[in-house]
Amino acid sequence: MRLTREEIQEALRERHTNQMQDRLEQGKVAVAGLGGLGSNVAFSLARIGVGHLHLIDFDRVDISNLNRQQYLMRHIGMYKTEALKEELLEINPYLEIRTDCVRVTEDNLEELFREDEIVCEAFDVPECKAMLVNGILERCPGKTIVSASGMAGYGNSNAIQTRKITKHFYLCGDEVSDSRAGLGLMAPRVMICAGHEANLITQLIIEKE
Amino acid sequence: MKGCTTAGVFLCELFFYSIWKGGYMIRVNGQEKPLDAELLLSNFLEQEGYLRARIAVELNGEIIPGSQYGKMRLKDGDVLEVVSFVGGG
Repeated sequence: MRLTREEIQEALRERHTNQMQDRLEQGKVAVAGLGGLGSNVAFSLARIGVGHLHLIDFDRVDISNLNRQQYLMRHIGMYKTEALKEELLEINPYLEIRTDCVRVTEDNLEELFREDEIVCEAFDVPECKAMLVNGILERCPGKTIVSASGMAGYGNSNAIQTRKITKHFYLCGDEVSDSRAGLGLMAPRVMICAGHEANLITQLIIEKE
Repeated sequence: MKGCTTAGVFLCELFFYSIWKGGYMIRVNGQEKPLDAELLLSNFLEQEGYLRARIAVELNGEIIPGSQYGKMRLKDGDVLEVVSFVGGG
């Protein structure tokens, strides 16, 4: 079964109101890193009809990703950009989804995020997180970055928070739970953190001045 | 009258002592922190054990580019926020 654009729009507008859906349709969000955080953030935003999604990752789906990332067995070996785009279009085929199968660096960052209003940092390596956050704040004035740090392990749901650092920089997570041997990343807690990022992004889109 | 003079002298001494000592307070991640010497931001971050490649630094509401860490001197009353990223995503 394939829904028409009108059917999907009507369902979303009935749930969210016209006013909010107009805003969501205009949202332009980049998701940098399509692992446990990014794939879950993208799923949430696609479901509520955020109109323009930009998916960025250089990696392929691996068996070890299935414990927390929104991929299925049939995606193993595929580029994450392609696998995720395919899934999101099954939820809503009328979204504009741009993919870039590249590694984000200090050199390509300005060009890569030129069209995006909000950047969701969803990397796993701390140095990459810091590079993206600093790069966006220093070199892309006007854009907002929503970042995440500290979501490994299980339990202690309420330690995961959203904190406003500056007008254009928000941080989600408990800020301390580093992923390491014995304290791995697991779907439930990573999804809480991804939920924080996606929920804040939703608020930023709807309440945009 | 004598008591007032003594108290006045004491306060004066305290004032000059604090200037002589050169100590000052900054606020780091919400907590007061005394510094006893004028310090470059880069030196402070190193002293506190932060890994430069894993942090984002906000000083008085502004994000400080990494290239400026070695040029900025911390002043009395500065409000510093250091975000130190951990792994996982």
